[in-house]
Amino acid sequence: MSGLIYKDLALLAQRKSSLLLIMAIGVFMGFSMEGSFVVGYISMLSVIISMSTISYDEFDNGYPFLPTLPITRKLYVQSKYLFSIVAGAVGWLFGVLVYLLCSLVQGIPVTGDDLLSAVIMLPVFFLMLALMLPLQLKYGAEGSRVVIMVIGGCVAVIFFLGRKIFPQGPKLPAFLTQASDLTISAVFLAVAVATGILSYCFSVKIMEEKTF
Amino acid sequence: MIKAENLIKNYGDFSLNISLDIPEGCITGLIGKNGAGKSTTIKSILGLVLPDGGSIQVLGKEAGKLTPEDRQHMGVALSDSGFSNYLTVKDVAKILEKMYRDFDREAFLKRCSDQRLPLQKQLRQFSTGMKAKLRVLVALSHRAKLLIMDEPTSGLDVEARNEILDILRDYLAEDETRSILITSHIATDLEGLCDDIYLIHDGRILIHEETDVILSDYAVLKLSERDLEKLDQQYILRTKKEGFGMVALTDQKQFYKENYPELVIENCGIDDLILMMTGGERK
Repeated sequence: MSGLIYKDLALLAQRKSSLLLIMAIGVFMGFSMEGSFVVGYISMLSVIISMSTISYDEFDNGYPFLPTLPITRKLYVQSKYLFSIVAGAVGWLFGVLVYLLCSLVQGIPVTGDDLLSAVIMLPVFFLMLALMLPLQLKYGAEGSRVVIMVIGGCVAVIFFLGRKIFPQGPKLPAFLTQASDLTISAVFLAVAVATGILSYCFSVKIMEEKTF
Repeated sequence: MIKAENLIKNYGDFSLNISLDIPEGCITGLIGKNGAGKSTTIKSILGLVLPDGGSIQVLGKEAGKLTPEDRQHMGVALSDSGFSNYLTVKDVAKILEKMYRDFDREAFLKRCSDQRLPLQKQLRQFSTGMKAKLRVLVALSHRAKLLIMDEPTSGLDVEARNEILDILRDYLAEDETRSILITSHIATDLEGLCDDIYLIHDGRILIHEETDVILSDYAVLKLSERDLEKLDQQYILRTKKEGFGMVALTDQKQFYKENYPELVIENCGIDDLILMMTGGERK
């Protein structure tokens, strides 16, 4: 595992200029925008950049060589999940730090709502990982982009039809409308973790069945 | 070390169906034209493609069930795949150090320097020959018992090819129990290296023979069509029409030397063997 993680770190180091740019834009956004939007921005970009290591593995027909190394395909998947989750978490922490520091320097009070929306970003980026990792392993960088666009299109169509059918919006059950923000966040986190586990199982199956 | 029995793999119109056996301490060459099935055989042995039938044993285990521990004893160089081109040799050394128990970092970096491979440059800045050398050095970096090399000399000039073959010879000289399976469509590369040769064509093994036997017993006879008709053809494997008359491939050079002293008999190289066996008419 440590060899695979080192490889991904070395590949990530090739993108240090992109990372610095993201940090600089993040700091700029922290100063110029109100709220905790900067947390989501930095977390998402961290996840996307960490997943680009799969593209580097795949680039120039690099994939067939990897399973000849003393690793299992399952271990390869584990390394990708671990690396992406840690990278996303580090990005999220950096985003929170930027948000808090910028608020402190500008004398803007940090609201509970802003903090909650920052915390909500954690399961959101986790869900994003859970969706994108198996797609990228199955279809490659280019293919997964097309699949994500198709999924996005389908979601938009469903949303559009939903608005047509329920112009007032769907009637939510009472336990949802009465639940506190914290409860909803906890449920959201649990759903994200469950989706992550399912996603990992799919990814292992994809890699174990992959031929080169 | 490797034993494939009736290994079958189908790709559309192409069908591979071969058996081969590579014992310990043996250097085996798999030769054939492009598209003959060499790379499919290698990929099946490495578990990169799933066979449609038959069995493959590598280091005593089914190829699809090789563990990381088994792979510690294997060194692999593929013709068109390796570490990411965005890494440097130093990165590769660090990765190998973390992956292989017997990786010798100093020796690896020294070999890379001896081969004039820049340690700090990204691999994408390497020439084709430099990348090929690195792939071979990576395979040799951890004292593997079994080397599997798919076209390690492909696309290289004569000098670079010879350098790679010398590296392999040195590696084998260190430990005689090591085995190599090497593929190439450049037959001369394998003449001075391999103990035995498998000739593959259209997914089938046409010949399996010791290299010394090919070089000593096989021959190409050059003669007219009329002389060919008069010839005892029991040891003729293939014939082919050429501009001047006929050529015939035999695996009993001595028989024709003794019985037809007037015949033009030329020693057979592996290139001749490929040309005759894949392009000649079966007798």
